[in-house]
Amino acid sequence: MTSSITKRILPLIFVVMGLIFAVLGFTQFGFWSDANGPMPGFFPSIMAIVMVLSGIASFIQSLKDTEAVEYKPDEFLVIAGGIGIFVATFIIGLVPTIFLYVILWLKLVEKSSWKPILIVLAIVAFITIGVFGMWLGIQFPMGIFENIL
Amino acid sequence: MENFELLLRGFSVSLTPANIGAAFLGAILGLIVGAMPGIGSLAGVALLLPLTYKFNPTTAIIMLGALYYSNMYGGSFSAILLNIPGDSPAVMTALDGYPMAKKRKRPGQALFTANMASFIGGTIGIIILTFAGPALANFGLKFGPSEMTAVLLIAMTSISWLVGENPIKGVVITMLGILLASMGMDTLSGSPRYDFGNMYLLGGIPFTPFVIGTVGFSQVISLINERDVKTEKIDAKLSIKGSILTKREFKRLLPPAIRSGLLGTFVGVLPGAGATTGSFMGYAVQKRFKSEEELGTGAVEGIAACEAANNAAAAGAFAPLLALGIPGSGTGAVLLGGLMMWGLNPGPLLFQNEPDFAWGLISSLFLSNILTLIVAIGIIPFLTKILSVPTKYMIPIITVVCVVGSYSTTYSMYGVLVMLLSGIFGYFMQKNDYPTAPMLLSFVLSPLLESNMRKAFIISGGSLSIFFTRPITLVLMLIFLFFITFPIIRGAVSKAKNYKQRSRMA
Repeated sequence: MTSSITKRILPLIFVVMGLIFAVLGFTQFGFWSDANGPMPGFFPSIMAIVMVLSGIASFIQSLKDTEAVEYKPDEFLVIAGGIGIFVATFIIGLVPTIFLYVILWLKLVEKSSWKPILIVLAIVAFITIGVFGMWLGIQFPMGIFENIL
Repeated sequence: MENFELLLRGFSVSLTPANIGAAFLGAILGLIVGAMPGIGSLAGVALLLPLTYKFNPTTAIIMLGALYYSNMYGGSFSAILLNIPGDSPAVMTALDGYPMAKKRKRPGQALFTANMASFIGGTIGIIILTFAGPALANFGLKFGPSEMTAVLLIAMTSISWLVGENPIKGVVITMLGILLASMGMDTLSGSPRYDFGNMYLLGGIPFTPFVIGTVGFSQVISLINERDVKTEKIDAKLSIKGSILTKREFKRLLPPAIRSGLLGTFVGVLPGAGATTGSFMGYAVQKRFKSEEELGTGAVEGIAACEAANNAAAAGAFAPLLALGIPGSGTGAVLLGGLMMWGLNPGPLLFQNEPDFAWGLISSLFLSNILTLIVAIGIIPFLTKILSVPTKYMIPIITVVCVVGSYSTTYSMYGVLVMLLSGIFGYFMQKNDYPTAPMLLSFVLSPLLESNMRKAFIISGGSLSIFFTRPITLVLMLIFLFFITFPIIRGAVSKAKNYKQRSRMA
């Protein structure tokens, strides 16, 4: 899948973001006070204006750029996996979600056999439970089961 | 002499069992992560950052320093054995490292050359740092808010304008980092700013999940395309005994390593020119000197020149980082973020206010250099196994490290959300040729730049003249203006050259 739309959208996002920061900086947080000098909006407003200007320049550049960006479906699978972990953590908790993710990823996406899956699970268990849980003492969220328990 | 005494005092801090253990752990992890192709030192340091939370600030930073340092060693392993540089400074190492390993069938010697040159270059860099760091800090003591503003502007523009092919994109991304850093609380008054009524945003964007996402998770997304890439592996069995260099080879290695060590340190001190530039320059300089074998065919001199330079640059970069609080690269920015996370403020006063910490860290670099060399040699027999871990298994493992690491630094799923969003955004930025390193640098430096700029304006009563009337500020502002105008001049010159060439052809 190739697209040159993101080349144009990204600078526009930067321009809009710069405008929001500049407007808020000038109107809500204050730019300059005769008594106290620069206000909280002073610095970000200036930087936001620079961002708007450079964003516009980047957008103009993108119009001349004819080369398309190639996006591969597998790349979005990784993003989906990350989002899946985030959502499932609220239901079954972080640690079970991670194990489930590893099994599903390796079985469904990579079509791996059980032997490497078990090895990767052991490594993940060592990192999550051993290093972060036991050594660093991190208490992982348990999802809705936490409330039930 | 005073520096030497302070260094000895630093050793009394760093040579405790806990600190040696932390440095050793950092060296092992940094080497393994650095050796993994496709991860690199930036993502490596970011991913391992949460592990330092276990320790007190000094131990944590010693471990972080060892991680950063050993990553530089590790990058050369995959460059030599697989012809895939673990990170960008190792690109030049592959030019001679891989031919030496493959054509000359001497992979062990190629690795040993890289390790020894890294050690020599690193040692030179740290020795110079021992003297240059405090001297730079003493000079920095003369800096007021206007000078610091100018220095910070140079640091930000040098990386965004000089690194990458498109300065406009560099500026956009630098501004993005500044605006993201301005969310949360105002640096001087402490009043809420750009929180959009959100409780989480009131505390700002947490540094570690942001970095893990931008360079770690985005890297995993890109890594998926490399899982089917077939690499040419070196089949030879590696052993420590079979890798040791002869006396003659060591003699060949020494001059380029010393030369590149000196050059690399100088390059490392400059803002925006880190280990990658050091490595390229080291190799380019070696071309002007005599090598026993032609460079590019597996010459010991070629490996030594770039490896010594990149490790020296990594050490040299600590001088502006500690003395002025200015990192020279994205990895340096992560390191600086780590220091600030621990409540330490690198800058001219660090050597005065926190001498135990500053000298403890410098002395720990000597320790890390020795430990990393020992581990790097000890790991040689296992390298083919470490490097043969298929990428498809690394993807879920690194994803899990990203998620768990982000959660552990914030104790909330907000950290995981920040990591995911910055990872997705970082992926789109990389795809569209926006460099991420300037964003990290500006994200870290922005609070310092803002507070200094506002203080300068308060002193001058709002007049810009403060930046052009004080001698040091004026020089620094001229350098800053040169950095801004340089790409424009360069573009105009290259256009004029092209025009001349075309008119000649016609």
